[in-house]
Amino acid sequence: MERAEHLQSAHNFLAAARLLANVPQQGQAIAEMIWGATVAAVSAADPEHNISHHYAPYTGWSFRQVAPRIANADLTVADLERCLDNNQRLLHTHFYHGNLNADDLEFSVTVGIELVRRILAVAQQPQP
Amino acid sequence: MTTTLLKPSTAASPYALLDDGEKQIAAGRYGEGSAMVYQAAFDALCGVAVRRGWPCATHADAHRIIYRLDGRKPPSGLADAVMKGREQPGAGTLSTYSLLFGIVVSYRFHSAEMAPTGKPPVTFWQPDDYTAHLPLVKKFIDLLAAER
Repeated sequence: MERAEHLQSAHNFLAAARLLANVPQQGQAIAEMIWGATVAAVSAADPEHNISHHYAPYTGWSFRQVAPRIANADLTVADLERCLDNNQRLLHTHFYHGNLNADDLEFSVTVGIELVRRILAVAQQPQP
Repeated sequence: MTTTLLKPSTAASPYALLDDGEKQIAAGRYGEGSAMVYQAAFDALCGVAVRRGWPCATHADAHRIIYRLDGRKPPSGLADAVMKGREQPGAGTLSTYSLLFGIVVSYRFHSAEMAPTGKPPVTFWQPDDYTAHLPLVKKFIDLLAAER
């Protein structure tokens, strides 16, 4: 997929999450939309790697291309990578098992959307 | 999901609890160790909250404190969290406490003895993950210790 397609996918997943937010009992689906948006955003930020969504758990290499541009003084790139990976695993596990409580799900979704937005901001800039 | 510990502990400093949790994990007692790691982070968070006059007795309180420390208004539910994300700017400083607290949440998640279904909880960390994430909890506690 080309960068534009990955970007569109990420925005589509976010739009789907917003639609689902108006439907009761859709927490698992929302978690998966944020997970998918993250994968698509990371893919968009590193289109040369041509990562497949199928290999989404292994986005580390691609994320390392983005992380230096969104990291702050308190978090190293390695920290950020681990935080993103962990949040993705929380969301994806919730999709399968519905096992996060309401507070933790709301929190993981909030963190996930923030990361997606930051990664998308990088992906939409001209590549160095 | 339940955890064995919750209210601020007075028995040991967050760093001592973190050290104890690390020893439990090193000994292969992942659930017990994770509970101690969570308690260490929770106690450090409550230390800041108490100084600021914020309530800190439950995991839900911890979430609210994290939002406040990151300068964000807590969402009023999942739908609000999704819709608020639309308003976030794409640039600026990442919410450091929120990112690190996600790791703390995972230690709590992996310390659970019972899921709400009454069955063993679903976990996703491999044994190495329990050790690999400890430095991030220490960083979380370090940052809180520097808060006034």
